[in-house]
Amino acid sequence: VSARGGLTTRMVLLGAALAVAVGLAIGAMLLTIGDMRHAARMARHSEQVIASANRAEKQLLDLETGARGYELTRDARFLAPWRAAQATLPRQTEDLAALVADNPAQAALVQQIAAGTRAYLDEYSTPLVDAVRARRSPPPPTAGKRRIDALRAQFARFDATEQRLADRRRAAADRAAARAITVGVIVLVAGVALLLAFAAWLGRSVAAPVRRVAAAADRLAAGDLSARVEVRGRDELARLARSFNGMADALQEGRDELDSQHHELEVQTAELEDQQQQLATANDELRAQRDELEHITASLADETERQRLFADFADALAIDAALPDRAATTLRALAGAAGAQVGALYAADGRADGRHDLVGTLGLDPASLPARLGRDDGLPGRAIAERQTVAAAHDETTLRVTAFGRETAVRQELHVPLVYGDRAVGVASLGRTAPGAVDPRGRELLGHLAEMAAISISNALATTRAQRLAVINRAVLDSVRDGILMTSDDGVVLANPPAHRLTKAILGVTIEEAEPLEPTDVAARFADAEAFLAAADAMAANPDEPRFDELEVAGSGRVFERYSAPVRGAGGERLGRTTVIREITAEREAERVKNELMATVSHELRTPLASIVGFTELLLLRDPEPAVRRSHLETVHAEARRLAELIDDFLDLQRLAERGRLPLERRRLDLRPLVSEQARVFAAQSGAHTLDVRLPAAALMTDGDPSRIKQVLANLLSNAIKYSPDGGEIGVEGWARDGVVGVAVSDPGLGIPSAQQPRLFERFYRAPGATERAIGGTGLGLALSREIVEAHDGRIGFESVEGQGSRFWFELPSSPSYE
Amino acid sequence: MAKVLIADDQAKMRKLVRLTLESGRFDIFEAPDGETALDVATRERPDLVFLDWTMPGQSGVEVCRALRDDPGNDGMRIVMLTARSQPEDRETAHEMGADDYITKPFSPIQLLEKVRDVLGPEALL
Repeated sequence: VSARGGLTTRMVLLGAALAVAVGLAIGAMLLTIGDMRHAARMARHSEQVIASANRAEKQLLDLETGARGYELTRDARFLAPWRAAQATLPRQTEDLAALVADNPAQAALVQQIAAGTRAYLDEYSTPLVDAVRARRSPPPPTAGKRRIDALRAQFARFDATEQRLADRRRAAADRAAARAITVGVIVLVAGVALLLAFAAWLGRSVAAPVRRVAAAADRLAAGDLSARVEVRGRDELARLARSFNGMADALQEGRDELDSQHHELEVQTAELEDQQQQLATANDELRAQRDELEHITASLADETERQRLFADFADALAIDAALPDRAATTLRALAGAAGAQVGALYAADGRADGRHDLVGTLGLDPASLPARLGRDDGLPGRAIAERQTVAAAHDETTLRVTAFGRETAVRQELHVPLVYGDRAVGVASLGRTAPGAVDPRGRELLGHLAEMAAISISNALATTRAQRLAVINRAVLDSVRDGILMTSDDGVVLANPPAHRLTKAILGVTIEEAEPLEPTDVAARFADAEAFLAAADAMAANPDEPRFDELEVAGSGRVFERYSAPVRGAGGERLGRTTVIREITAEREAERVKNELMATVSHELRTPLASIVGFTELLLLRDPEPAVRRSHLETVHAEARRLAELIDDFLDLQRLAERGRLPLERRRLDLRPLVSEQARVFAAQSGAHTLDVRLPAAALMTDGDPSRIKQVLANLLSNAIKYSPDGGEIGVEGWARDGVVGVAVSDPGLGIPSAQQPRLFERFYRAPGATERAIGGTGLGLALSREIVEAHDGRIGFESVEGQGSRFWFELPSSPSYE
Repeated sequence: MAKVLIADDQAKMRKLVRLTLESGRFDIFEAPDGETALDVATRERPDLVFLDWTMPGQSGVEVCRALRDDPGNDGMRIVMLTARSQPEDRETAHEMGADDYITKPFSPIQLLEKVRDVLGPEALL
């Protein structure tokens, strides 16, 4: 009994020890799992902090891009994100501070960021927006950029620290999970080992003695005496002999006990397995949470990257002010967003037909592209017309372009319109060599970049148009003949080349030298200095009135017309005065000559008319006797003839002025009878003169218009008589020599001063003594004579000495058949 | 009888004026140039002088000025009779002392009316 009771006690003790060991192992495992959960929670907290920090940073960027956008465009749309960020940013930073309250270093950094943000808002961003709104000059953008960069650096430091913390905590969570698994395995192995040890112990301490007892009993039954030896450890053979069944029962009881313990072990094992399953589930859950965190982190990084991309693009556009630079920057950015390798940018040329010009290419040879795009020209035209991105996919062979110096297949083309306001200012055509469409994210990014590019391109187009206009204005100013200059309170602000030339001609000094001159000094240059000063005073008194002045330069007699008018800006403010100077010396001279001619013509026509009108009226009034009547009529007739001749002269000259050559009716004729006849006519007109006519015996044959030649002879004879007021002998001679025939008329009259001789054949020229001496004439006779002689391919000329008389001659080609 | 001097270098014009005035009513003197006109005027002191402008030697307005400068010609009426028709010519003549201005061509009736205006209606009776 003592052996059986000792065995049970030992077995209970062993079972209790086993249970304690298993309990301890499970406790250790639960502790490990608890650690793991805590670590995971801490990691999640860090990610929340980072997310909050990133939101704050994004709002900060909104502030900067909003303000910068508003400054660039003055478009109030940019102020919406700016205002929103301004409102929420302080709360964001407070939240962030609350989140990191447990971490003094990070909390300090957040306070620093909050202070920096307030300073940026108060000292730069708000003043910038106010300045732009009030159209004052804004603070330099570098100041804001510097502050933003500093704040972003602090954010980056904060994020990095928090990220490191998160990484550490995640690693701790991972380590705790591994520990939990390890503890679980150890507990399992230890349980099995304990069971095996228990079983071994049972076998050794219960079954073996029974077998040995049975064997001993068998052996006992067989009468084996060595059984004693078999049971030498214990002296219980007497008890076995007392009841084999009792011994067998005891053995059976021990075996049942073993079975029950075994069952308990199995239950415990199942329990362990269950716990292990729970552990695995918790592990999966942790892994899913980690994946989710990673995804959130990735999308946050992506958003940050996008913001950086926009900021960089805006900076690049702000730096490159010229259209080609902006086009190149835009193409690079859009191609980057679309994953395109080649591209071309067309911008509206500003004309009403809506055409677009090629302004930039990426990877493509500009020469291989159309330089200009019509309104509905292909896909890009459609993109412009619909203000929608147009995409088209191709197989390997459809669209091949020469890019980067070799032929490349474009698998997808994308035409992104650049829309500003309600107008497409351009279109970016992009080509992807990779197949497949741009993902929605890329398209959204493209849309944002295209909006920014549209503003920038529109600005550049406006600048380009303004520059082109300035060049045209300058070219127009330089191309006009008149001097144009503009003056303001600062002096001369604009002067075209003729203005410089004319200033030098009028004042004798350059514009720069003339500026400091006193008005009286300038006035001294003009024939009428007082009028000049009066004009200057009037201009100063009525600065809004335009003015016309005619200025004659003293000495040179050159005449200039000056038009001066106020120049006003778009807002009506006075910018200065513009002055247009034109030389009108030739016009004034032409006018003077014309007026003189009109007076002369009028006078010459009125003189014969006076006789005609007067005598005819006398005839009508008085009805005189026939002899008187006849005399009156003869006077009227002669004067009418003279009037007709004068009119013919004017008309001939008019015809000459129009056609350049007189019509001739030429025939072969002898000059001698013409000369004789005219000599007779003029000899009869003047009693004070005698005519000495000397003609050769042989005919002076020429091909000529007799009436025209008669006109020349009459003019020369009339001049000879008119310009010999004291009478005397008029010589007329004719000759033939060297294929020409000639006639000369000489007089003993006034002669012509040598200074006047070169002008003698000019139209309307009259000898200086003609008017004073009341010598009639139109100044057309000699001019007409020269035209007639030259129309006959002849020559006309004269020799004259002032005070001694003149000799006028002309020569015509002789008619060949009489040579 | 009133004395009238006609100064014109053209004989036809002098004849026309003389015929118009009908010599029976006036003492008519003629001068073919300015110098002669001044001589005749100084000698005869005519009541009315017709002056052509463009004459050899002294022009009509010069003669006019010279006549006005001579106090002996007080009361003398001077009428320019000329083919010069510009408005400034009329002004010049007026400044030089001419009483009236007739532009050639002229009607004899117009000339007579001028004489009546200048000398008074009794001169033509």
